[in-house]
Amino acid sequence: MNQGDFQKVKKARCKALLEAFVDEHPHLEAVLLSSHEGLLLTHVGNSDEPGLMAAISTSALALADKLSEQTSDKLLIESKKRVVALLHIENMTLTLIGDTVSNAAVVLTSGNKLVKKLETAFANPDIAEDA
Amino acid sequence: MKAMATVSQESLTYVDREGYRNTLEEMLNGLPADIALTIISSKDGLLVQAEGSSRQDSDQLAAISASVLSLADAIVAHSDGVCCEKVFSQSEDHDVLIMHAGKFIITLIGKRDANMGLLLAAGKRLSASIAELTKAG
Repeated sequence: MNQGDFQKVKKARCKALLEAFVDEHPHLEAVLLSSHEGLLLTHVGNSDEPGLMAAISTSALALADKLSEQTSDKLLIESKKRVVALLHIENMTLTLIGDTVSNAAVVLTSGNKLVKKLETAFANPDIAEDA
Repeated sequence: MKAMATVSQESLTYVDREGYRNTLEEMLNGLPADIALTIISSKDGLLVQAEGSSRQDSDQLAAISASVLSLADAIVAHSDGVCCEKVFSQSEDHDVLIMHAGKFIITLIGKRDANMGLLLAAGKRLSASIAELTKAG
């Protein structure tokens, strides 16, 4: 999916879906969705420079794919303070930034749930519009 | 933008890398059999030591690992101003763990169906040992 296609699936509706998800999962500080070129498609939550974050996330995931010689299911980045999960969704990158108290399992579980939700929405644009 | 990662980016000289090589080789020999390939590289992506025979492109993997870790540092430094502790990538065939280890970077690639906990534990131990070694050096 490129940026043009994404517009067709109604960017605003998709953002609403992400916002609803982040409201339900308060341990997530921010969620970003970027194209395979690293362009920010949409984001919700607190992120200083989402455009830069989207570009870095996409690069990191692409390199991780190269490292494992195949498409990686997930890339998990852990620091002392927080966990960041990067996941593939179609040909886009989903970045979930956990808050300072969440752990890897919590962020990953949320990420997997969100991927399923978004995939359903992309497969059926009507759902995305109703979200 | 907040301060970037505080980790030292000093690169090792050829003499430094050669000096550590024997000790690092000994460390890699004691790793669990679940690990297909272990790579130790400098922070600028130069291969220092590799153990395991599953892949021949260790030089390239060392460079990619350093890039991934650097990008991961940028991601967490963006919000916290600290560097990341570990990067873990999971795919159908391999789990890959990349960590800072003192002046080096370690990359552990697990065999298919390798125990993830074992990989993480081995990485943590190896990272601590190398950090101790380079601190002493």
